[in-house]
Amino acid sequence: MALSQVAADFVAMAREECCGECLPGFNGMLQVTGLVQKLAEGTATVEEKALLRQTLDVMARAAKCKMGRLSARFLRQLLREA
Amino acid sequence: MVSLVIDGQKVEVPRGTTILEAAKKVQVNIPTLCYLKDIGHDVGACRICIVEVEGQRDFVTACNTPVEEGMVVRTNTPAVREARRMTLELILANHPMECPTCPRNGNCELQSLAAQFNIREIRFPRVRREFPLDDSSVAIIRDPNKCIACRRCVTVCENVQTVGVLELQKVDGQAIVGVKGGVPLAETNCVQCGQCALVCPVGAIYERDDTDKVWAALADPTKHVVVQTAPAVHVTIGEMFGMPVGTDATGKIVAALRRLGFDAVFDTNFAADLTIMEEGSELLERIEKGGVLPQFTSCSPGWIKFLEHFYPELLPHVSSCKSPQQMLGPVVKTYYAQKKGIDPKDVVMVSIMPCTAKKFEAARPEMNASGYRDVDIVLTSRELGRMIKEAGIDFANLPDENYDDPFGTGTGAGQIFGATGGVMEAALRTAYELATGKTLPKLDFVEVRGMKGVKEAAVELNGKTIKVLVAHGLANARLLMEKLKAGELKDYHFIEVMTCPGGCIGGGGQPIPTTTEIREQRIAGIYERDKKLPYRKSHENPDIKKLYEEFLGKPLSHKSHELLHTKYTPRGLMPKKG
Repeated sequence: MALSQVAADFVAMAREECCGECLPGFNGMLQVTGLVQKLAEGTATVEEKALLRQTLDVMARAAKCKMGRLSARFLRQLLREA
Repeated sequence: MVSLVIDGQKVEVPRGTTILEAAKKVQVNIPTLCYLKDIGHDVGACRICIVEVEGQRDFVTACNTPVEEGMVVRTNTPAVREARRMTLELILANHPMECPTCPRNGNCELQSLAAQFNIREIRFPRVRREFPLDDSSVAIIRDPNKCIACRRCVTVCENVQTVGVLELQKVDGQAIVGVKGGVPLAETNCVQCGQCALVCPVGAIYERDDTDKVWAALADPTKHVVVQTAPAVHVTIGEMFGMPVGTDATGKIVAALRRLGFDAVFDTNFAADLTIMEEGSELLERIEKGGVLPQFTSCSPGWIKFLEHFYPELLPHVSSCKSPQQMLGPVVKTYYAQKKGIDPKDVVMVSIMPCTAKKFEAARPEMNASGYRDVDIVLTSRELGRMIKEAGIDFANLPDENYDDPFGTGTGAGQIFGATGGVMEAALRTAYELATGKTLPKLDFVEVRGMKGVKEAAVELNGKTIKVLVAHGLANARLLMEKLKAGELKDYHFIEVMTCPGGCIGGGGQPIPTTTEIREQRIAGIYERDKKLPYRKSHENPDIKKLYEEFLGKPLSHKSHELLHTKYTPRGLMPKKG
């Protein structure tokens, strides 16, 4: 399985588990879902790839809980290797 | 003391101070969105106030992180700016962006932040939201599409009011505040106090706008449109026109209402005086005849609904007096209409209130003592402000005008109804003099004034000590109700409760923002006006004397009972189980 598909599955799970307590965590994961989906389908533009990276950077440091921050960090690493 | 460095500036603050407060000391305003000090809301939901702390990989939230010795804080780095900006863009991607038609247009914290951060584009695709509007209740409308999930409303409803009908929910993959149990707001214990609308940073919770009904009545030549203005509105509406907080704008309100086309402009202070005559007499009667004590005040409709839901067994304690708003209506539709030779069916009674719950109160089915609705339309301070703006009236520069006869005189006692402790103080001024026949040596009962949650006072009345309690904010009221049920308040005679913190000056229909500091300034404005008025005791009001002489007879008369007193509805907890 391609790493980007693993990422898409992971995002789906993370979104499910996201508590909604903090805005970058919840709203961020919502947007990351769409962007990773495009990545997995191979339709993501250069701008969208950059936006995905930036969003994950912000979530990794700004999300309220460890789950939110760690998910972003994990995804970032995963996508770097994808 | 703790010393730290914020943006290169050394600062020393007491232990326990947050980074947010410490930064203010060195002229750094860290932006916030969900944080609201007054209601103790520091959950760190929005992450707008994030800053960098040297040695820490992740950002910390300035609103709820206490300073530490030697901390080095940076509030304005590229990473911080980018994170705040992206968080805002993420919120805006979920937001309907209906600013021009939003009730909070021009007074929205999200709009202000977008301007502050110079947001010109949103990099994310828009998320469509199609949640239904909840307009089930009389006064409060919820638009979940605009909710940013800051949860201020949840905190105010749960902690300040102990009503607790709201919660954070995940609906269709979105985080929004919803009503517990997923039922319409009208089917809950919601008391319609509107504190949620007051703290909402955006237009997700707001008052039902009834200005169209008033415009229509004013435009109808067959209608005689009468208006009354609540004491708490006198000192708050000026804020909507750039006047300093706490300014007494009573004369300008009268002038503005006349220019809008109202046929008669009456003072709810007068009606408050009438309430004191009835409620004070009721108290003396309960004391003399061994009625249910302590007596509770009944002016605050949120408080009444709160009791009906949570403490129906205590309803016999509540004064049978209608609130001032509801007393003036039937007097206008009987006494005034007869005097003027107008058919009461053509009279439209409008009231300008600080309160969203007043809309609920006016709509209660039993409130039709004259055979017609006591009050036809209730507007909040905010709605009247909007009408004045729409009419192009230069409010701040209007010459002052006086109220119309025969309900144009209101006393200082009526004026202080707008602040916590005011009804009690007004009642004591009158009850003392009626019961003893003596003049009060000192009119000011300062013990019952101010923002302390529960206050108490005692007065000697013909050798008997009358003990009274005052609470504002329903959490404080609940505390007193629990004490009463536990048998701790047996020797008390009278309890005043106002639903909203600070009393009506902090009501759910008041200008936004309404902070603790603003509440205090409005209270100061209330007592200043009390001191200025020629009459300061309800029973000395010449218009009140005349109304009793010509029409009502005496307090608690048959006619008074018919028009000015009411009954309550035990509702119990909602939604009902099973």
